[in-house]
Amino acid sequence: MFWYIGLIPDFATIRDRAVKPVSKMAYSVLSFGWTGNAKAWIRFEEVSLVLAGLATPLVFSVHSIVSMDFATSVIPGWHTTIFPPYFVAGAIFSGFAMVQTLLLIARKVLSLEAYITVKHSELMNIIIVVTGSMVGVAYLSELFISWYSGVEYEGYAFMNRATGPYWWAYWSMMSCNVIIPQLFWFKKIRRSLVASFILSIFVNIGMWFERFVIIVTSLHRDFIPSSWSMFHPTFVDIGIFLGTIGIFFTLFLLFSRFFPVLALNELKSILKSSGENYKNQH
Amino acid sequence: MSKAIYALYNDDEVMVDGAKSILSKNIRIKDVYSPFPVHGLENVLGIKWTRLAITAFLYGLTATTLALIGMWFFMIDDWAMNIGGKPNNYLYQNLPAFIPITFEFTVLCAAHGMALTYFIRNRTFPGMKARNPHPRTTDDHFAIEIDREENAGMSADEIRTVLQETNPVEIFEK
Repeated sequence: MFWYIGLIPDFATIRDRAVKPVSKMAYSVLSFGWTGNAKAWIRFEEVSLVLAGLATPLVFSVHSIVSMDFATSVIPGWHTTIFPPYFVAGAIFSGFAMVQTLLLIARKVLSLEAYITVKHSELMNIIIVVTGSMVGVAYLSELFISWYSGVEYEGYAFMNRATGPYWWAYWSMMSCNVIIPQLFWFKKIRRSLVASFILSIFVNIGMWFERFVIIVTSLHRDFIPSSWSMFHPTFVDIGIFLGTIGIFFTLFLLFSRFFPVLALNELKSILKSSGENYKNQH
Repeated sequence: MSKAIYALYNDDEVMVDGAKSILSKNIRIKDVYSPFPVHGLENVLGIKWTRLAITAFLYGLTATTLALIGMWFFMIDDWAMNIGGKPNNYLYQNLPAFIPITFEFTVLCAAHGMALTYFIRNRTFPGMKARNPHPRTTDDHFAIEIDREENAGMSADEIRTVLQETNPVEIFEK
């Protein structure tokens, strides 16, 4: 809703610029009859502010509750108190990496270089390295606590993750999520768009492996060795995986084809002052 | 007779100066249309700041109360739930377990209630016709609307003369 309310004035801009009757009609429906009068803009700013304020704690609550769904179970590897902050940091980390991947392609394809600058990419990379390190601390903490707790099932679950049959998933996760993003400490890499793109792909892969490690390695060996087995994805599993990627990219491409990828009204309000400052500097 | 006279500007600062000048000549401005929020305009036009945030708070407060009453009724009063032998006789003993639902329901109602109020107050709904006077007011132009009835003491020509002094790119009637 926050997203849609922000789009309404931009849909109105497209509506009033549209030439073809079909697009005029479509954007008329989407823009809800937006007029852009003085009072409407005051309300728009207030609604944006309050919705942003409500959405921020929601990020924390959603990810901590999802993580506590795991933590309240008694499966070794899930029953840990570090899960809420670990999942919140992981969500920000993977979210920024995914945005970085899509943004860098969109920036190039849609020629948005003047609006999305290297500075933006650099700041995102700083967030990625900070949250990646937080996730790294969480990985090491749960590893340490599994030993320090003295619970043999917990200890085994983590030993099994690192050295068991799924060692490749664990070490892919570790290297993609913790080690590789540390390259962003170097300013040259942080400011290179090619490097940012490649590293963001690594983070996407690493975060996929994190989910794989948490779910598969904990479930494939629990308390009774007689119930141990290996995970073999069915065609349904693979279908859901490919299908979700497919529908995500279909929607993303449809959005970038028909909807404004940048918040036009926000840009217009800052473009004049920032544009003049830019011109004065150069 | 046309209902309103509009002055169209291509710069927000020129428009704000124009609005000040028009008001100083005792002409009432009905509304201003712009492609983005023009800060400071509300002070010039004397528009009060919106109370939407207060409505969000009230919707949230209602939701918090409803969520707590609901959970007390479902989980304690109507059919007391014993989950893992945890205490369940009083609301305050169960509060930690009730926090997530209370929080989520509060956010849900505050956000949706405020958004609905926003749509109703702006009179914006799916498929409604746009009422902006000029298509470029959602693009890169700004329009000041002078209602003829509100300024019955002045003729159209007098208003036009005043508007002309404010350097608009166009003056039109609708």
